Amino acid sequence: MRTLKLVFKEIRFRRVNFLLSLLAVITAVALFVVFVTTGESYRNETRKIQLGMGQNLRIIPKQTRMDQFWSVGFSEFTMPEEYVFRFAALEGYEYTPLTATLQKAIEVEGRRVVLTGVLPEVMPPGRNQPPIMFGVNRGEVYVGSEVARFFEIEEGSEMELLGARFHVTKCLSPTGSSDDIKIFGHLEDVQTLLALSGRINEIRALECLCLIESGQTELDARSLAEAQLAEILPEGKVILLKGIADVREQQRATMEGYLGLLVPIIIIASGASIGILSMLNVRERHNEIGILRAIGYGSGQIALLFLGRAVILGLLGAPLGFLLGGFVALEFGPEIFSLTAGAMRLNLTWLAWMIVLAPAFTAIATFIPMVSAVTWDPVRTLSDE
Amino acid sequence: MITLESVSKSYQGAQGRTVALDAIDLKIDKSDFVVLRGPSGSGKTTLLVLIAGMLRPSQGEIIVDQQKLSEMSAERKARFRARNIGFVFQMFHLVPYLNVVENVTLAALGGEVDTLKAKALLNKLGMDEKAKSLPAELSAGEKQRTAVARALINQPQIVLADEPTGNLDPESARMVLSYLSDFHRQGGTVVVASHNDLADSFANRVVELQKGKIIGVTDCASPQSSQSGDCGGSA
Ligand SMILES: Nc1ncnc2c1ncn2[C@@H]1O[C@H](COP(=O)(O)OP(=O)(O)OP(=O)(O)O)[C@@H](O)[C@H]1O
Ligand SMILES: [Mg+2]
Repeated sequence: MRTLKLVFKEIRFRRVNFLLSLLAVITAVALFVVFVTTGESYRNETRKIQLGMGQNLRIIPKQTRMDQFWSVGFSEFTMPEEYVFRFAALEGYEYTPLTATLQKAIEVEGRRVVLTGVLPEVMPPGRNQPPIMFGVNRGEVYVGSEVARFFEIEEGSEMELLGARFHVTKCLSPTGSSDDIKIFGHLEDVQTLLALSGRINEIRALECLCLIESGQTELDARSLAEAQLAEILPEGKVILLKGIADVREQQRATMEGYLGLLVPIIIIASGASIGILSMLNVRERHNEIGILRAIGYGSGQIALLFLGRAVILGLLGAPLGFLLGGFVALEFGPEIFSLTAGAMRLNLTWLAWMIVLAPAFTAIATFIPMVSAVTWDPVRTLSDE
Repeated sequence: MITLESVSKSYQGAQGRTVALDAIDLKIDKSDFVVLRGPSGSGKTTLLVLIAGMLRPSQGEIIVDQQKLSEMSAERKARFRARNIGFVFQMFHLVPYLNVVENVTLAALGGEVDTLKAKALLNKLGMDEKAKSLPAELSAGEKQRTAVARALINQPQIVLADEPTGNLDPESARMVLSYLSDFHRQGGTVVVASHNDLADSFANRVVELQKGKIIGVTDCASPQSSQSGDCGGSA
């Protein structure tokens, strides 16, 4: 009789054991699928968020020494103003308004102030949103609170800067930052005052540097931005500020840590239960093993009986577990892992993997019982009772 | 047909070594119907299992059909057994999830499943009506007849039977033994371990075992003669 037919008949005869084993396989596969699916979706969503609001990007002149930059707050060098338009025209990015500034510390009546020229925000094409930074009209200035206090400047008054007269449109309220000692003017006015026509020393993309969704799986926004921008802005240097992205990144790492712990536990637990169940199966079949040996079955054929059963178990369990796991992931995953439902996607390659891995897994779990079946002394079956 | 040359077998059990067979010399001819007798634990089952090549002797050589079992690989022995030896057990040992015909064809050497042959054999054993029954649905006698059919399906040279009548009523016992006798008359070699006196009446030799040693061999001039004290009557 064909070995496979024997295997099927045995399965039908001892359904309970088989169904319990199948349940163990289904559970293992399902949980595995739930974890990889939610894990994958979580990672995708994290990536989106990371790209969406993580990065505050600053571009400063290349020669800038960072010790100088961080201690003063702006670069002592300049780069072409035109860079902001080049950046705005860069494809593949969806960016928030870009601001370009030219800053320089000057002495006014023996007092240091920072003169800051601001270009009206460069808006991304097709975007309509309130500007993030204020814009200053030509001939006007906004003064920081500290400057206003010291020089006793009031809104609506006039003030002289480096020999030119400006209308003080606004006295800014205290910010508790270096903005308090700044005088903001239109970029072109400041360029003229400082004799730095067409130059700026910083571009900022506030809040967002959004990479448009790309087919690439693991996009490193950082290196991509640096590489692309370095190419079009040869005199620029990119600084990325960490933020929310890092928090989210940490959450992701924590979650993957849990998964890394849970998945092996599940696999070991279900492997053990399959092993125990097949051990019971072997026990129950000692008689049969003795008979088969007596009528001329070799060790290989006997091993095949148990291996065949294990493989069938895996082949059945894989798709069923995948369906169950997929259902659970899609149905409950978004809620449990606070993901947007749309982010949850069932990856069919996992089905293929499960169909390969589950039978291998059940075969391994059955290995020890199988060895015990093959080495079972048939004489003990035949002589006792 | 079967030659045992100073064959010993000892088991390593929980209470140390048990010598089940102690330097046995025995020759069984092709035309023999041998009955092994002896008290429980005397080594009858062990002897049958050694002849079948399912266990290795601790010492000595077993030659079956001119082939030394010690020189065969395990797989080769399994094939040899399938082709040349039929086995019948006291506890029937049918595969519980196979019906009668399937249990019989189970032995049919993997490939050519000769259902017709199995059915003919079952017919001869009066089992044709139960062909589709599972072992659990059979009486003890029917189970053993199924086991006999399984032992005979490959037309082996040798049938080894271990207490084949131990669980049977006298009528069924007689039936089973007469089938074995038929097989013997058609040229097969039969070795039966049995406590049943009835078996002796079919034997042409009775081998008496005790504590792993042969303590007597009786040749019965004419099988089935119930005259002789050793070969048929009460021993
Ligand atoms: N697998 C084993 N492990 C240890 N000892 C064994 C094993 N099989 C048999 N024995 C021992 O070997 C001796 C011979 O056993 P065997 O089964 O051959 O006797 P037997 O004549 O068939 O007995 P019975 O009439 O009760 O069937 C006994 O003492 C038995 O306890
Ligand atoms: Mg015995």
